[in-house]
Amino acid sequence: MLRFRLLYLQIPAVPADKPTNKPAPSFKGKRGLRLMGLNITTDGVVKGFFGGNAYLAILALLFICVFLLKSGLGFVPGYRVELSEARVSGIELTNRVRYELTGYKALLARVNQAFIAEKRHLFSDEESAIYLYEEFEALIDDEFEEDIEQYVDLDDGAEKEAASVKLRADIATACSTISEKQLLLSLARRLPDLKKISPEARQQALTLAQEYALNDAETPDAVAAISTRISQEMGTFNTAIQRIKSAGKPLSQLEATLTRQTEETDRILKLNRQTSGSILALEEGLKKAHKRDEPSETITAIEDRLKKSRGSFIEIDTEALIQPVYQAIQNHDLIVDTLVSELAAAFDTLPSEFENKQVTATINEARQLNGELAVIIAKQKENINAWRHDKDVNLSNALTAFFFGSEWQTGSPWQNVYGLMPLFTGSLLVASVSLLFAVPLAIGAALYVNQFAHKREAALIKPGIEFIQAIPSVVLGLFGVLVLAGLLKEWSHSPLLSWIPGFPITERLNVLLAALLLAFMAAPTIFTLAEDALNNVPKAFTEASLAMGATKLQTAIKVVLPASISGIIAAIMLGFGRVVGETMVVLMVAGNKAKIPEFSEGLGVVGQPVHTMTSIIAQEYGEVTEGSLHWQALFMVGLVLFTISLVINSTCQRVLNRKTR
Amino acid sequence: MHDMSNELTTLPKATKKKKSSTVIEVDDIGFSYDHGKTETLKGISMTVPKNQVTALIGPSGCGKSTLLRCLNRMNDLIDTAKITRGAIRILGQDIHAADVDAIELRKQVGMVFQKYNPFPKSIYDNVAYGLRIQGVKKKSVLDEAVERSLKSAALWDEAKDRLKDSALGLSGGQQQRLCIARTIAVRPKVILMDEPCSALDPIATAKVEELMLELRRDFTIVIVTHSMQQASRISDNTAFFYLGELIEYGPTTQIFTNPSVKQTEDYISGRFG
Repeated sequence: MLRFRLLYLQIPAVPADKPTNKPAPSFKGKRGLRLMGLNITTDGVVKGFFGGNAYLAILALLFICVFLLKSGLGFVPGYRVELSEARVSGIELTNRVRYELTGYKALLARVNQAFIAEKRHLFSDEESAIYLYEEFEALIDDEFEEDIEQYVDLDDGAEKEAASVKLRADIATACSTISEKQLLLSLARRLPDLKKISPEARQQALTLAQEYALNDAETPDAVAAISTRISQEMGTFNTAIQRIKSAGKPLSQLEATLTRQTEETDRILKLNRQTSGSILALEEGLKKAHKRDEPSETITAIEDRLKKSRGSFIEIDTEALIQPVYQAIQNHDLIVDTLVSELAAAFDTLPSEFENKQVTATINEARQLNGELAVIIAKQKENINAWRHDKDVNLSNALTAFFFGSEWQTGSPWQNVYGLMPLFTGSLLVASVSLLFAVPLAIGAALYVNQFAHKREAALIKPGIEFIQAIPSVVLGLFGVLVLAGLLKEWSHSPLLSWIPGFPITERLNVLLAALLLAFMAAPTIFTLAEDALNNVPKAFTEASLAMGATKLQTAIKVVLPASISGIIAAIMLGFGRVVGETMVVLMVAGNKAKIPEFSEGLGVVGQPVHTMTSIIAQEYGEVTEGSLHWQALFMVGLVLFTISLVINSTCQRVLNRKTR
Repeated sequence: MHDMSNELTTLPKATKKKKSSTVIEVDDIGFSYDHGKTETLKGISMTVPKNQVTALIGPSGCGKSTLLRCLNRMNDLIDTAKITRGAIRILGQDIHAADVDAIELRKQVGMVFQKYNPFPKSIYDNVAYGLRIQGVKKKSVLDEAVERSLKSAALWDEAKDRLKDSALGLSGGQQQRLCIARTIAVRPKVILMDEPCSALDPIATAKVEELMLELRRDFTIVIVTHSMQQASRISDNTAFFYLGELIEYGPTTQIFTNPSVKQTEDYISGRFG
């Protein structure tokens, strides 16, 4: 072995303690203020203060939970009562018929649209001539009234002949002075897609107008003749559309009959519910008054009101009231069967191909709707025949109707429906689309700031992004609704951007707009948390990777990002929670249409307006009466939101814990 | 443990004799951490011979780690750091020349750190990392390299059945050997080791030291160590640094038995540091 030169260190001996006269140390603590058997020290007070605050926060949370549950859960039995009333009165049945009718109406609207388009295509000039003529007619009424009177008063002869020539010329001059732009503007209401007025149409309109003037301001027969010719020429199409229209009439009539029958029953039922509520309250009050030995006047007053309430309770025989409904519905099968066969026959008469592509497309859509309608009818037929007014509505029915109901309809004279689905899908759609924008943006920025940016650059970017969080959401919403909404709609019509799904958008306020603004709000949250997660990756990993000859980019993507993935997932989820809970912006820009968006449009669904769980609460809380079903329904929505946040947060905790383990 | 005396007598005695066997040439290098205001390294000159272990020793703050990090330009990552004078040549090339890419340099000059730092990936992915970032995708090539490297790092027997397991499940010593395997997987010319055993227990240390003596055959190793015993056990040459200056450099046997400078003698005999 190697030889070491070892040197021994000399350590001086520690001098022994000299004996002193100091008293032995005491281990007794300071005594605090004695109060009611408690020993109160400063430490204890400070500890109590902090601890108290911590527990206060927990208590507040518990209080909110209990309150939400108490107010929200009362909704289920309440909704059950409303649903069973809707069943007993026949509203439920009527809704099923209405559902069929809605399908038919959508089809009719499409066919009408095609009809109008076809007419415009074939008789563009004639139609514009008629409308143009009406414009000229108004002009003549304004300016040539006296001239016409003078002309009419003239006796037949050369003088009259000359006057007529002059009048014609004057009218022609007056009409020609109106600019094309002005005419298009006045025609825009009736012929919105008209781009240019052909000279032929103008000439024809002028001729008609002159005829009108010389005919002593009587509409010339030629105008009616043109209309007749158009409808004759549209022959087959016209017949088909008439056939479709008349095919739907029995169903509309059935719906009207049912509505009439059920509305009355429903009104009485609702009234009785109110009355029995007040009877119960009065009975309670009477009992209390007796107990407290209230003066006899008070007791008599209560008894009077009770008597009055009992008197206004209407005894109704629901069995008897429902009989006409059953009677009316007997014809349902026949009516819808005829409807289906009539519609099929009408569509058969229409040619499969039209000269105008647009018309062909619209008719094809109508055919598709017709197919869907047949399916709907087949299903509703079963539903309607199986329907019984006295079948019990249980709590799970009410719960299902709330959670999976596809309609949220309040303040309606017909029936209030509280279905969560439109709001839930709305919230989810807006949040997901916004994350689609926010995640790449925020994670990219976090990676850049953490891995690549120069210190000075990071000092500029980080506070910049974090400052976005400080923008009040109402300001962002205002910007969205007043500026971005218009811009987005304008851009979406640009042919350069037509490849983007959903473009061009027709609704000014829509999912895309809300998602863009929310992405802007979620990005700072995700950025900050993701940046923290990246920061927590040990420097040793980066160094090791760089020392292997990896570039900074390779290191960032292959080492740093995977090492911090759980933190980044947590960041994204918290961003999601932020977006789902955001209220003001979605209320202002999402369009607030409580309807499940049409997912059949694919990605184009982002161009539609939606309503969300948060904005429905913000929008409707002001118009509900305390304790009403609507009030409780809003609390239910709040409860769902609360649960979603809870789940997201606890999942985040679990993800993060997994990382630290 | 190893019989050191045998090892040492068979070593080539002189390092400066054969110019061709020199891998690293440090020529009057000056280095500063603060834009050149104060020099941490004050004109170091030394050469590192091929296929030998060269130990850098000295008290804390003497600049030995700084010099080590200059050799693969890891100091480039510090914004305020700056080479104030001199040059470093590795295999005859000035590593600070304008056309030298630090990333290419680091592929040739690998590094093992004080605290073992495998990535939070599987054992296999850790070893294959270096090749993957160089664009190697073929599984057979990667498999072969992983096996070869783990065998070289004396980890194959312990790890071959758990290649897909997380590297963080290995013991400290195994993790450090995995880091060595990861470094040699890309076949660098030089391996820099920055106190590789300071976080390990004596048994793990012995294994790593044994490994270094094995690796000497294929690589040139520069090691920074605080333990003089370690330097004496494993190195062929030792350089003693003090306050940014190279006090003495020579064959290990000479430095430890017959140092020519008083400061060296004081340090290795434990009078300071």
